[in-house]
Amino acid sequence: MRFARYALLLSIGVPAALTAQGFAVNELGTCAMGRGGVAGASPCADGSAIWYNPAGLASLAGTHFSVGGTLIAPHGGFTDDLFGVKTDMLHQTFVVPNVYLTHQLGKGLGAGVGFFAPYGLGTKWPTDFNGRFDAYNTQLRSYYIQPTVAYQVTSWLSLGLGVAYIHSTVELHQRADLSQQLLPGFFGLPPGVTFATIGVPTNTDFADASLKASGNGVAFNGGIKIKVNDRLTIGGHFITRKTIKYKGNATFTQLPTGLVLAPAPPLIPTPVPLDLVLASQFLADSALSAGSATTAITLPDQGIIGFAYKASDRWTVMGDYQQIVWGWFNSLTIDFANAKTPDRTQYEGYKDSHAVRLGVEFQQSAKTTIRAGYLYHTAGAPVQTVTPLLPEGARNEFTIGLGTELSGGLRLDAAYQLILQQDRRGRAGTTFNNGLYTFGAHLFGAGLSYTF
Amino acid sequence: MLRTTKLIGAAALGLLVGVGACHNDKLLRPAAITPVDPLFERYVAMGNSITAGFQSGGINDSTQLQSYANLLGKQMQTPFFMPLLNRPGCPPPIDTLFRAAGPHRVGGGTGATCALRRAQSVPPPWISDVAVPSAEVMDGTSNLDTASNPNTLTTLFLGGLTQSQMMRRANPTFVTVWLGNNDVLGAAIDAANAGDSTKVTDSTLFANRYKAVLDSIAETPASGKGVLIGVANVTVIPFFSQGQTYFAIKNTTANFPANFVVGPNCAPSSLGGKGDSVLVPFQFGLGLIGLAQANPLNTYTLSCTEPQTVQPAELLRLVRAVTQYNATISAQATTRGYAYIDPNALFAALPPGSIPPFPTTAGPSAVSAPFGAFFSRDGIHPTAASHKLIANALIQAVNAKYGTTLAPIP
Repeated sequence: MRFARYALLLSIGVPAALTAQGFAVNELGTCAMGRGGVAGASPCADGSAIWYNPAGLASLAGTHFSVGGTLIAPHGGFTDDLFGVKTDMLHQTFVVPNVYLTHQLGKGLGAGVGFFAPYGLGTKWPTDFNGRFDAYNTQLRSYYIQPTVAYQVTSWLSLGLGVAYIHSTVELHQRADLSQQLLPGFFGLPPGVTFATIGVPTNTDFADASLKASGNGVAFNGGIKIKVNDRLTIGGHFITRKTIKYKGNATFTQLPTGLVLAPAPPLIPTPVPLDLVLASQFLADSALSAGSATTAITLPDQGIIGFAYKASDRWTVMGDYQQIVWGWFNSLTIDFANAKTPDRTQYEGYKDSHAVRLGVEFQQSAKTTIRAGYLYHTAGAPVQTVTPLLPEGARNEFTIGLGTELSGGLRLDAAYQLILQQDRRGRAGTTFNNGLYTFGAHLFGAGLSYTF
Repeated sequence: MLRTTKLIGAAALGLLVGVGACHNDKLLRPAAITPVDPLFERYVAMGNSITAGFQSGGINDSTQLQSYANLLGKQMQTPFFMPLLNRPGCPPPIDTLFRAAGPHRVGGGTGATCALRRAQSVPPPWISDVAVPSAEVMDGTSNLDTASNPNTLTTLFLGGLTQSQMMRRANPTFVTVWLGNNDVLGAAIDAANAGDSTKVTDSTLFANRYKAVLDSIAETPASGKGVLIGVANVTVIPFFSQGQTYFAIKNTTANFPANFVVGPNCAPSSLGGKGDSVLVPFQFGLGLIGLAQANPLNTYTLSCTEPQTVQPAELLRLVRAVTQYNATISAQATTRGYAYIDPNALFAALPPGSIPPFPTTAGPSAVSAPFGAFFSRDGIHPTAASHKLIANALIQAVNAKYGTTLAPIP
């Protein structure tokens, strides 16, 4: 029996983006989150410059330690064209951590190390959702540990560079549709005939597949900051892409179909319990036996360029433009170690995404800062690949934030972000767009930072 | 301060511009499959060969699409998915019945030819026409019972499910059920013993099995929403000719060969025979004529006492069974809130001569319509014209029962 199409099962792609373009996450510091993620020219003084612009460490006096997290509560669903029936994503909450430690080594020389997760998160759908054959539970995690140094070259120019060690994990769960599998030869039918050809209904679950894999890599994050005058600063950063080669295990669990083909000589001389026929495919050394698998996902390069303008002693306005080079993510290949499970390449065809971020900060008092921001970004996924894996689209996002000094050196930041994704046509369980994905999320950020 | 205010104003303007850039995609439901009434959101047809679109002793994607169920689905403008078969069919329909070499089927196939299900580029999300040729009421809920009648098409259409199970997968909002014909037809057309009363489903069993089918529908949104179609009186189909017809042709024309004799027991009762209450299957009667033509030196006699003919007592039993079945179906329709139609009234209302008493065996009509315009080349299954008739009767019944405005098929 050949299960060629079953390989589609593990064409894992990537999980759904929950907070930013593609599957990127930009909420890596509570202070920056409050101002719409704008920090290219004027990173916050909590060490998050390690991500947002390493050059920012050059002018960060003293020693800073900060720890924070962003709680993400996404909500969304898929409404099919035919009946307008909506399937909601299962509720999940995620916490994206960030930890930064910086120290000024000397005048104009700073260093630090950060721990953050700029790509990832996931989606979960009910197992009766038609999109379960694409994916019903997908998780991607990518953790960066990035030692960084920065140097103020002149009174107006600072440069910074970080080297990020990346550890990434991916987990995918999918169902397999028996109707799309090739028939065993013993029915005496010509090759290439699927179970659908003998009437097995569309969307007949017969296997549950999962892939758990992990990989590592290194990326470089460089930043520049130019002080144009006392009021205006411009700057930005660029982090290189890294293709992570994931290694892990693919497992397949048989699901009972309950189908028994009625006797119909000469095609079917006696009743055929399909579950018994299929069971052999899950035994050791069979097409659906567990085994190792590899794949590769490119965590793309991205860059930000921005400005910060100190309009008055109390008001600062700022803006960033961001581009993520998703164009690298054109296809995805799954390589199964089991020779009986054919490898699979899936088209993704992503395109670069662009974001415009605007932020404003108001120094309410010597201790308290109020922030607000707005951002808009385009989608990375093209119209052909908006799936349950990644039902992503252009988004408008609004943020507010507050930072206050609790006691000498200890500062608390809090932020809220509302994500409004534009409704996007996509597909679920088909090869064409057959419905509408909706998505939104509430994000809550909190962080403590201490300056020594 | 003024400058600050301007900057904040510019930022606010930018924000508004961004929000204004918001563009939401929309749901797209093609108008052609947007039901004319929410009642028809998902329509499923249960039944047997007629509902499946079987004609002329065969079935393929052409005859399937002529089924009244598909026609009704189109008028409803509901997504209606048929388990389409490849050409030439499974088996291919007969395109020429009366030939020296025997019937000819589409594509030159035989009765054992089966071209399997058509691979559809967009797999149907469910099957709307779950009917299977040869299905009796029993087969509505079971494929594996000793009383079930599974065949190749059971598998090709249902893939291991029963009609009820496949119906439930569609989660229908409206159903039609036309089951029961084969509970008498199989007995009527039995080649060895036409009208074999032992093969007629007992009326109590029939009632219980029919209720089981309706119970399965009761678990869906279509409970009490649909049409139950009565059992056709299988004794009026042109597959049969009365014995007296043979007697009349033999004695009033020279159409039959001289060495083909029609026994006096085939005369009408007014002439001392029983030919007005004996049914002769065309395959048997014409088979004898064919033998007579092929062997002019031998004499072949049609006797109206042959087991291959439906005898008067058997005829009464068949008619009584149909009456009992229809009483059950009608009562269930009333009890459960379905519309009910009697298909026999439809055919009874046809103009005289619409159902020919004897098949046309020569000339162009012998090829195009040997059993008239309303029955296909097997003398049993309705033609496309009949399907249209049936669909329009259903439309009338549905509109009357549910106050809908389904348009008739022109």
